[in-house]
Amino acid sequence: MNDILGVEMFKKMRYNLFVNIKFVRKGNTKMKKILLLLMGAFLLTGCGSDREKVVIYSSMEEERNQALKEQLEEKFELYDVVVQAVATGNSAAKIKNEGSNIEADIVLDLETAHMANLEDNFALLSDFDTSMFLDGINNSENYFTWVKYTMNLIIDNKYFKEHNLSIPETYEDLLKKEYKGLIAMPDPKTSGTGYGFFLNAVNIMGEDKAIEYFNKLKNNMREFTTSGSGPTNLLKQGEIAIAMGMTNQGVEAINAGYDYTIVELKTGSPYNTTSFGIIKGHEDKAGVKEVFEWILTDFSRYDKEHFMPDQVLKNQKISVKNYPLDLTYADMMGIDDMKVKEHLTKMWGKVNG
Amino acid sequence: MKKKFGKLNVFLLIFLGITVLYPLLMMIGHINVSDIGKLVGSVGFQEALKNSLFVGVIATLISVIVAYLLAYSINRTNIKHRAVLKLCITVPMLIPSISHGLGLINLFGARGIISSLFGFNIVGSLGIIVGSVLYSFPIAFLIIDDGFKYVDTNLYESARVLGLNFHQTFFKVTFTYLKKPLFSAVFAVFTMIFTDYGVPLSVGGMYTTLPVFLYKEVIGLLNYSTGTIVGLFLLIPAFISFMVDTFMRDYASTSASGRELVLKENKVRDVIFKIYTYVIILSVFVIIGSFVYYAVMDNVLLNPVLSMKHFNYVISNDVGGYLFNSLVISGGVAIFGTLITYFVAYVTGRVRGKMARIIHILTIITLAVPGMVLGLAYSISFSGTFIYNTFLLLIIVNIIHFIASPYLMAYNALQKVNMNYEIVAKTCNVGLLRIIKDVIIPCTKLTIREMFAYFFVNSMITISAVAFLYNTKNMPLSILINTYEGNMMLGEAAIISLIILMFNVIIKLVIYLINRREDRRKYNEVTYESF
Amino acid sequence: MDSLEIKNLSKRYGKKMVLKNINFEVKNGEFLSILGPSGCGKTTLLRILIGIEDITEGSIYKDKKDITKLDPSKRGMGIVFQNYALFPNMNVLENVSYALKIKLKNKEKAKREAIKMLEMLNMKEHLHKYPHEISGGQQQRVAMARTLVLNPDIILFDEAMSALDADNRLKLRGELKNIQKKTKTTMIYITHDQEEAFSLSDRVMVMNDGEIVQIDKPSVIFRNPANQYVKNFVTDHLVDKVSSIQKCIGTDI
Repeated sequence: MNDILGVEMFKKMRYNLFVNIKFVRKGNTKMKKILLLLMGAFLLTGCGSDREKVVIYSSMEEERNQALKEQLEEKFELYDVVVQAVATGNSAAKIKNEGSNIEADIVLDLETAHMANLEDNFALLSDFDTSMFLDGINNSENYFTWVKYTMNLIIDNKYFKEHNLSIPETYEDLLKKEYKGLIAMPDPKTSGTGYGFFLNAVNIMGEDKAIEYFNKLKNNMREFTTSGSGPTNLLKQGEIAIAMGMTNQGVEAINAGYDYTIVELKTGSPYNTTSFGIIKGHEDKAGVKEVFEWILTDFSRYDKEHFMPDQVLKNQKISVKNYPLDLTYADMMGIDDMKVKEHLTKMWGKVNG
Repeated sequence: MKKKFGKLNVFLLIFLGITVLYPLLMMIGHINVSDIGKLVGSVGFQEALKNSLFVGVIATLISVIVAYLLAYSINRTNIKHRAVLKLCITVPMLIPSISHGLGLINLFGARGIISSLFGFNIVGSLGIIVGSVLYSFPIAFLIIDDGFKYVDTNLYESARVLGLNFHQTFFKVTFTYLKKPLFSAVFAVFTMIFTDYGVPLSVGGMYTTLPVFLYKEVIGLLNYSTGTIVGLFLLIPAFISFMVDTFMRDYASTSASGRELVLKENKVRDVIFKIYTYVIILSVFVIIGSFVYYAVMDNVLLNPVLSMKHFNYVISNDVGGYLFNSLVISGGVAIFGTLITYFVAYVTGRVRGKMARIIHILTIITLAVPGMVLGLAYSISFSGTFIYNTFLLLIIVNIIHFIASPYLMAYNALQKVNMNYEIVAKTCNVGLLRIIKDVIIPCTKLTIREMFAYFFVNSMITISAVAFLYNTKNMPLSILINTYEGNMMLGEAAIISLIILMFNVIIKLVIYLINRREDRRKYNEVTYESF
Repeated sequence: MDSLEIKNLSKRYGKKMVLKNINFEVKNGEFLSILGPSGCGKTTLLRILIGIEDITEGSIYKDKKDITKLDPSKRGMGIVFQNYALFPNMNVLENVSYALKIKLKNKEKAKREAIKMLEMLNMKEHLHKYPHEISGGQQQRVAMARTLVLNPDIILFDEAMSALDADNRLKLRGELKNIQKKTKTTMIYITHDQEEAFSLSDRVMVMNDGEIVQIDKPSVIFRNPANQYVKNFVTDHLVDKVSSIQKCIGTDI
C-alpha cells in the first residue's frame, strides 16, 4: 500500500464496515449479496500492487531494517521491494512449512544453523560473484554468510558502582553470589547468541562440566530469554545488570546514551553467524536476482561498516562508534557443525527444559 | 425438522472438520512416538508441567474469586454507574496481553516503580499469577455476571421468610443457580491461563511453564513433534471442562422470574464493595497506564521528557495500512464468526441429533488449542492452497481460535428461548429461516451483539495464531507490537496497543449505546422465559 | 374437513411402547378431549398428529387421504401450547397477523383479519401491548387468535390452561366453547384435568399407559366407566370433588 498515512482510506473502510454491519443486520438481501460478492473478491486477493514485488524476510534489528528500506527505495524505483521483519524462529518455521510457496523471495540474516537445516529450500547461488568474501567463510552453495557477530557481557556501570560490584573476568566469576538475579542469557534452544555461549563453555570445560556450570549459574540468572536481544532489552529496562548479549547491541545502546561497558571474558568473545539466500524457485522472478546482487555487493558492506564490524569480507571498513576493536575470538569449534548443535541443544534440557 | 437440518449439519461438520480436525490431525501426524517417552521423562517437561498446574490453579482461584466479588458488587449492591464500571472491568480484555506483562514489569519488576518502594519484585511464579489474573478476571466476571441474571429472585424472599442466614441463603439459593456459571468460569479461566505464553514470557523469569516450553521447542528447534505432544497435554483441561459441563445440570434455564430484585439497604456492604470495585479497576488502569506512559516519553529511563517521536515513527511506518488490515480481519471475523457460530449453536442447541454432539465437541475443543499451535497447524496444512496468504485464511483461523466462548454464549441463550416457536412456525407454514430471522434472532440479539464484540475485540489483539500465517499484504497491527517490543521500542509498542484499545472501546461503546436505546422499549431477554 | 381417522397407531421409544395400537376417529366440528395422567402417551399422540414426531406403525387419514407422512405445514392443523409461545418481540396484533401476513403476502389484509379475530376474543384494547404486558388469560386468547386466524381444520391444545389460575380457567373455558360454536372448528384438547375435559367436550377419550381405555360422551363415561381404572380416575374423582365442595358449604347442590 503506497498510502503513507492510510488514514483517509481506513476512515472510509471503517464507515463502509459499519454500513456493512447495519445492512447485514437489517437483512436487506440484495445489498447483502452484492456486498458479499465484493467482500469475497477482496478477501481472497488482498490489496494489489502495480509494480513487480520483491519480498525480503529480514531478521535484523529495526534500525538496520530501516536503513535497508531507505536504500532500497532510492535504488529500486522499478520494483516494490518489501522488507518484512520476521523473527529468526518464525522465519525458519515459515520456510519449513511453506517451502517455495512462501511469499518471501530473499531471506536475510537468518541464523546459519536454521539455514543449514533448511538448505534444500534455497536456490543455488553459483551465478553470483563471491570473491568479496573471506576465504572459507561460506560453507554452502545455497546461501552465503551475512554477518559474523560476537557476544559479550554488557554491564550497567551505574548499577555496578552503586552496589560496589566487581567486574567478572571469567565464567566462574559469574557464579559469585553478588550477581544473584542480575544476569540474563539467551536460551541456546531459541537463540544463536545463547548457543554461542553454551558451545564456548562446552569447548572450554567439557560437556558435563559445562552443564554443571550452567545449572549453578541458574541461581544468578534472571531469565533464559527466548530472543537474542532479550538480555540487552532487560538491561535497558533496568531489570538486570549483566547482559550476556550481542556486542553490536551493546555498542548501539552505549551510542544511544546508556551508561554501559562491554566486557570480554578472559576466554575471548564467542561468535556465531547469520546467512542469506534466495528461496528456491524464486530466483527467476523479476527483480529478485537484481536485488540480491545489490544486497550482496552494496548493502552488505554498508551493514558491516555501520553495524556489524566482525570480518566476513575482504577489506571491511568500520565506522561504528565505540566498537571495541581489541576483541579476541573464543574457541568456537563446531559452530558450523549441525550435528553438534542438535546434540548440545538436547543436552541443554538438563539445564532448563 | 431434523431431516431438513441434515444438510446444514453435514455442511457444518465438514466445515469444522476442515478447519479444526484436519489441521490438528496434521500436527498429530508429526509426532514421533519415541518422542513421547523422552518428553514425559525429561526433567524440563515435568518441571514445566508442575509449574503450569501450580500457577494455573492458584491464579484461577484468585481470578474467579475476584470476578465473583465484582459480579456481586454489580448485581447485589446499590452501586452506581453499573454500565460504566462494567466497561472498565472489561478493559484488560481489550488490549494485547503483552501490554499487561510490560506494565507489570514496569511497576513490579526488579527495578519496578512499586518494587523499589517495597523492596520486593514479582518476577517468577508470583508475576505469572498476577499477570494471569489480570487478563482473565474480566472474562470470569462476564460469565458470572451473566449467571446472576438467571437466579430466581423469588427464592431470596422465601429464604428470608424461612429465616435462613446469609451462609445458608448463599449455598441453597445463590450457589445453586451460580454453580454452572461459576464452574464455566473456572474452566474457561484455567484453560486460558494454562495455555498462555505471553505473560510467562514477560514476567516469568526462570519459572518455566508448559506453553513457554512448547514455544521454545517449536520456534527454537522447529521440533513439531515434541511441540504437538505438549500441545496435546494442553488440551486436557478442555476435555475435563467439557465433561463437567455436559454433566452439570443447569438450573437457570428451567425457571427465572425476571423480576428485578429489590435490594436491601445496607450502607456498610455498599461502601465495602464500592471501595473493592474501584480499587480493582484503579489497579488495572495503573498497570496499563504505566505502559502507556512509554508512548509519550522520549525514553523513560534515559530521557524522561515528553516527546512525539514515537507517534511520528509509527505514522511514518504505514500504521494506517496495518490498521486497515486489522479492521478488515476483525470485521470479517466478527461478521462471519457470529453468523457461523450462531448457526452452529442453533443446530446443537435446538435441533440436536447425533451429529450435534460431534459438532459440539469440535467447537469446544478449540478453547484449549493455543493460538500458536493452531497457527502452526494451519501453516502446515494449508500452505500452497488457494486460501493461503489471503485475508480469508486469517479470518478463519481467528474465528476458530475464538469460537468456543461465543458458541457457548449462543448455545446457552438459544436454550433459553421457548422451544415451541419452531413448531408454531411449522404448523403455520412459516419457513424455518423466516422464524429464525423474525423471532429467534430478535430474542437473542443481546447475545448476538456480545458475540460480535467478542470476536472483534479478540481478533484485534491476537498475535499468536496469525504469527505464522500473515504476509506482507495482510499483516495486522498486533504483529507490530511484537516487532517493536523485540527491539525495545516500547513507546511505539505502547502506541499500537493504544490504537487497538481505542477501536475496541469504540465497538463496545457502540453496542452499549444500541442496547441502551432499545432498553426504552422495555422488553428484555430474561422475561421471555415465561412465554 | 370431514373426518380425521387414526388407524392402528403405535409408537416405540427404544424398548418402550409409548402408544399401543391406537384407533379412533374425530368428527367434523367436534370437541374431543384426550384425558389421561402424565406419561400416558397423550403428548406423544399430539406431536404425532401435528407431524413433528414419527410413527412406528399405523396411519392417519384426513378426509380419507393418508397424511401420515405429510409435512406439518400441510396438515391444516393449529396448535396452542401450555406456555402459549407468543413471540415476545412482537405486540399482540403483530403476533396474530404474522403467519397470515406471510401466507397472504398482504400486510394490510392480514392486519384486518387479525383485528377482527382479536375483537371476537375481546382483546381489542390490547392490540399494541406486548406479551409480557398482558395477563395469562389474555395471552391464551392471543395464542388462540393466532391459530384461528389461519382457519385451520383442527386446533390442538396442549394442556393449554394448566398454567392459569382457577378463575381464569373458568372464564376461558366458557370463551373457548363460544369460539368453537362460532367458528365450528374441530378441537382436540389434551389435558390431565378431568373436570376440564368433561365440561368442554363433546366426547372424551380416556388414555392410560399408551392405550385408549374409553372414548364416549362425558355423561356416558361418568355413568358407565369401562373398567376399574376409568371408574377411579374419572367417576370417583368427580364424585369426591362434588362431595368435598358440598362439605365446604354445607348444602346439597
